[in-house]
Amino acid sequence: MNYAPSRPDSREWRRRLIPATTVAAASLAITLPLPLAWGLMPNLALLLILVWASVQPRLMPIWAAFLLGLLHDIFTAGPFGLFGLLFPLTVLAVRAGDGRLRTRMMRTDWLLAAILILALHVLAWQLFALIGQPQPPLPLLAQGVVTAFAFPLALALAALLHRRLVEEA
Amino acid sequence: MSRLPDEVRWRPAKRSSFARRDSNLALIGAMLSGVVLAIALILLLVSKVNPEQGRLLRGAAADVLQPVHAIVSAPFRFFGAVGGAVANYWRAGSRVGELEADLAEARKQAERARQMEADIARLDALLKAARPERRLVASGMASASPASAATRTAIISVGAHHGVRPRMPVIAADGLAGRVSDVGLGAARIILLTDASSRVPVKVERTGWTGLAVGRGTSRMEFQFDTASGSDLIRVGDRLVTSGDGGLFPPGVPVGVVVDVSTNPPRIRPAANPTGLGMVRVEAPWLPPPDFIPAAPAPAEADRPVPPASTAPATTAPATTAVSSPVGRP
Repeated sequence: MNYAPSRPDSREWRRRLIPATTVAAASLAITLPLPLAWGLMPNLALLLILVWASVQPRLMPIWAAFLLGLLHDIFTAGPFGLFGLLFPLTVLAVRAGDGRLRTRMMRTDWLLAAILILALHVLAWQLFALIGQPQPPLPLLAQGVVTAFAFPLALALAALLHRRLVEEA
Repeated sequence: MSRLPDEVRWRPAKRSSFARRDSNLALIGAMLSGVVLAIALILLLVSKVNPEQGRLLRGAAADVLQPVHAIVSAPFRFFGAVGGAVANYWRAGSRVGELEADLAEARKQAERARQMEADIARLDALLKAARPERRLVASGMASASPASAATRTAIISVGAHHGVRPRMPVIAADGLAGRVSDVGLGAARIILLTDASSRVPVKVERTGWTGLAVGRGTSRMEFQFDTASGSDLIRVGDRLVTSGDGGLFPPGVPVGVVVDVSTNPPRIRPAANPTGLGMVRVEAPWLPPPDFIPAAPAPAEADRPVPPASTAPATTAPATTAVSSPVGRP
């Protein structure tokens, strides 16, 4: 076995790019035209950022979260920099939380994720007011609740991909 | 832990190179996080000052998304059309009766409207009234709105190549759809009426009262108006049309129907369903701001001699006494 640092080959690059690619794809998915009167699709990109930051912190560095957030802003036509701020904050919060948690349980993970997601949506509502585009709170909170309920979905998706990641490594 | 002598205290404690490297990396990481967050906050604050920021990027994104949306929404359109066809076939007999009654009524109305149009044309000619015309820029398909909570937008299949520019009004078959926000080369993004940033000057068709149709990010809008004009006289079912105020939207385009007057302000349902716009037309701003003709410069005036200043006006003395007199009184 060779422990000397070697140059990453194409396979290694693919492995490293999987988390970012899934988040970008989720950003694209949220722009898909669904005949819904409210914006009630769970914010899958935010969920995946949250999950990847916890499962593979090295593959979701803070600057990557920032760039993915800007991409999300461009796709959803929101104010430029809103998710560019919220995604890195998510990564920071997850890192701080993971350092403190001693045991991992699905129930506590879900609860903490739900609290974080709702807090982020309230923060988004406040940021909208800060930049002079005040929004009614109800649609944002509704999306926060739906997103919190979709947490196991994102976890399952990330687990599926993570298994392949580990197998390939 | 051993205490160091005072004279060497400023020197860092001896650590292994691994520990030093780790702490250095942690420090650099924390600094990098701070810098990234600061950049994001600055970008957000810049978009407060300049909401146009990122418009080019968003326009390019619209170009990329439009074909994807067209493909994805095709099955929805297909099943919608099939469902509609089946329903029509099912109720064909009763529908024919209804439509014939409607047609007879509409013919009467059309006759009346034609007479009124002729009257208006005659009056316009008498008054030499100038009525700006509505100008079609392009028409294209609109996709349904994406499912993000904060913005209610849709993508249309015409862009800068077709002459579409930001701010242009977009009108669907059933009524006003919204206005163009970001323009790509072959596609553009429109802000729907239900977006929280949408404000449309409207008037109540029956009474002529004006107000604003304000989006709330949900499926209904608010009708904001001056309450002094009589909120009790607005009824469920009142139609709202654009008033033409502001010069962007042409007047008389249906915007919505009042569906709830128990709330304050009353709620409106949009006339054109924002999730199924179908074909839309992009029009030029109805009454754009004019190019002003500069006024001719005023001729220079010759200096006139100033009359010599007179003595101080006598009116000040009574004024001071009038002010001071109540003070002296008990």
